[in-house]
Amino acid sequence: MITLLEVKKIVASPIVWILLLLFTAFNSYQIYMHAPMKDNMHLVNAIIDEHGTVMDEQGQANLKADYLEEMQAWNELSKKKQGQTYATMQDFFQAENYYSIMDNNVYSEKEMVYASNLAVKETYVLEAEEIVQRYHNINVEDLATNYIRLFRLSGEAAEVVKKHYHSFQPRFDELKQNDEYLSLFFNGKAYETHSFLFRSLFLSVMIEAALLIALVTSFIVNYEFDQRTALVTYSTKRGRQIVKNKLNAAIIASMTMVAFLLSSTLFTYFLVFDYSRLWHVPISSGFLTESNNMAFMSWWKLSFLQYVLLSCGLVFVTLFLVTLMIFVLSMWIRNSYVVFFLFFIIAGLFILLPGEIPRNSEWIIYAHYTPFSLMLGVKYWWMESGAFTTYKYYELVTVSVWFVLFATTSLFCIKRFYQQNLS
Amino acid sequence: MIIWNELKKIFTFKTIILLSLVTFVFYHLFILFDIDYFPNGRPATDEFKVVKQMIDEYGEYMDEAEFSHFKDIYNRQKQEAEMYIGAQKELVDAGVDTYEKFKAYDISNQTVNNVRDRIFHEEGVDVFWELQAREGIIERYEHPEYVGDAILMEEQQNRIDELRQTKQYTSTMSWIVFENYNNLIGNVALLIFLSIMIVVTPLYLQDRKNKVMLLQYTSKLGRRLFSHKFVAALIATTAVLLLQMLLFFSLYKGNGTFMFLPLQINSIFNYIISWYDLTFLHYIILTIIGIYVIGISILLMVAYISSMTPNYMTNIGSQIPLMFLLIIFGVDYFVRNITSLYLPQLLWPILLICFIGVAATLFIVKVKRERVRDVL
Repeated sequence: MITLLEVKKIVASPIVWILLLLFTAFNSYQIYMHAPMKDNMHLVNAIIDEHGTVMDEQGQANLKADYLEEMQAWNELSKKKQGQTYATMQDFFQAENYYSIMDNNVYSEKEMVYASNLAVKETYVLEAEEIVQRYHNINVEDLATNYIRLFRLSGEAAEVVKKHYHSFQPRFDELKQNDEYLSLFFNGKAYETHSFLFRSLFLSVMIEAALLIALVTSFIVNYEFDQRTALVTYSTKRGRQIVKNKLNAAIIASMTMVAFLLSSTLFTYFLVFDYSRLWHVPISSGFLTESNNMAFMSWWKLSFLQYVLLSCGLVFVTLFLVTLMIFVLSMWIRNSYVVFFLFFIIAGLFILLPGEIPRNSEWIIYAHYTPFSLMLGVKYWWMESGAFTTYKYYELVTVSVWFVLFATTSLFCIKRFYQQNLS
Repeated sequence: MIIWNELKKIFTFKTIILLSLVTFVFYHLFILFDIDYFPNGRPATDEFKVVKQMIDEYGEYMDEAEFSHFKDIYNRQKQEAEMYIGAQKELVDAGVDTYEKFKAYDISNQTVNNVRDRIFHEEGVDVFWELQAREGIIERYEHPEYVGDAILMEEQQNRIDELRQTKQYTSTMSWIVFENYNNLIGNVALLIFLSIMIVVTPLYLQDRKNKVMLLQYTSKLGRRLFSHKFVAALIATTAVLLLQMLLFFSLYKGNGTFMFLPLQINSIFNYIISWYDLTFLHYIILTIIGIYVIGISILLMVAYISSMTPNYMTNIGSQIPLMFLLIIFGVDYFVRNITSLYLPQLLWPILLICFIGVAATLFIVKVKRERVRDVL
């Protein structure tokens, strides 16, 4: 009951609602800016309907036969209208060629749509061939060596990176063996959906939620001090135990806000982009690889749906940690204005931390095992993710360690509060 | 005297610590990179060196005679490079004996590519990098039409035509310096705005929360205290702004771009085309004016918010959208690339006036209301 009354203090604050709506509007705006690419993206659905999602040798051959057939039809048309044929649609869409065609209105609108659809199909045919080649060339140990050189690591740090990458080898072999990497997905080079969804949007949601949580938690916890009711409230029989209710209320409010932001953003995203055929496609698809040529390779065989759900779960857990952290800060400082800024200072310091550690110490790797580095790396959760965070249980270890840490500190703060001098 | 006491309330030990921590973290995350790594990588480093040489030798502009001198140096260095190429056995064996042949990238010729990689990246032979930098400069000097050819509006086209005929278009300014400054000043502006918010946030809220206002408003000074507090905040804001600027420019001095200050920014070697004839120093002063005007507007808005909100949650919460706007749109239009030809000529002054106008109106209305407000 008391917990609910505490929650009511937040529900009754218009600023929380205003911010929630503004943040949702901002996230929707980001999606809106990307929306035009959906028309081309959805062409993959037709391919999936016809050829399935696995582009193994059989699948590739089918797709290619299909593509060649259409290409031939196109060439017959172009021969009639233009007097020339094309080896690929890429040639057709070369700037010199394309603009002269557009100026002279050689093709009807319908034919141009056909052409651009065919060009998209072509990218999938070519991409499939390229993926086989690219994954053939990936060598897990070379990846590790490259990272070690890139970050100029040495000594223990380099050893740990090598060890972690070595343990990735079986999984890499597996995802090549079972054709996971050949699963059809939106072409990452053209649309970069993975970066957009899991970096732009998820990171936006997490930052927005952290801002709200910092405001709300410090507000509830120090409400009695701000309102000068502390001396009355905390001297009653129920008295100081209220602080537990406050913590519960803060957690309930925070998690509700996270749920609201995450669900509204994801709902808009999946409303705009049609993932209906892709829910059960493995996330380790080579098609998702973006222009930096870094493959997305998960530690387990996860479908896209499982991946989204797992990531959402981790968002909740990390923001739960943020709530606990702000609770501890508020219990310690008692001034919500200072707590708010201090939280972001601490977050910044944790992000800076790895840069200050000597590059031969294995602590440079463990310095990434913080909630803040975890949040920043959202794009590579549960995946091979570069020198510092490639470890099968990176997410789980980070979250558990910090959970234990924050939970015990919170309990300690509550215990201490029972005997604290308040006046 | 009251103002002095208010100032003491603004700059408590706590706020100073908070401000320095924010500054420390912000500098490390967003600012120091562009200072530590300037110029960033090669051939930017080499080009910076070449441009500095140009300024030393040719002064503020590079005319035709000086350009041919520049090309002579290029050719001399080319010979030097060819000597180096001649000494590489693999290259001579592969039939690559001139610099032109060495430059032409052929993906199939693996041995030549390996040697090229070695020369550029492993050994990092200066001559080759410098040649690259000089080629870029020569190219831009010979093709002034490369700059700003995507422009459509007539006025903009006229401005470009006008620039191409004037001497200032051959100014020895460099895009490396300009880009670096633009990156830096945008982030510094954000830090300054954040600092102002931190300083001003408790201005009115603190006393109202502690119920001191009832006492204050019945004193002799009475409700005029509201304005006195604002004056104190204005002084504090200016002080914070000045200190931040001092800190930044003393660090920026380390970039060694002093000699670029009197150069025209409208140059074939720079990417901005401005509506006005500005030197780099003028441009810097304009950015500072922009930051100051926005800073004062933020002071007015945050003071307004601080006088209206019941608690810190609402207070800081109301400032978040403001900061969001500044981060996403504000800095690009207020501080970075100002007076650019790609934006309407009057956009910058009008935006600034609107921004400060809205903030001032809000605050003045509040000041008037405060005089007759029911305080209980």
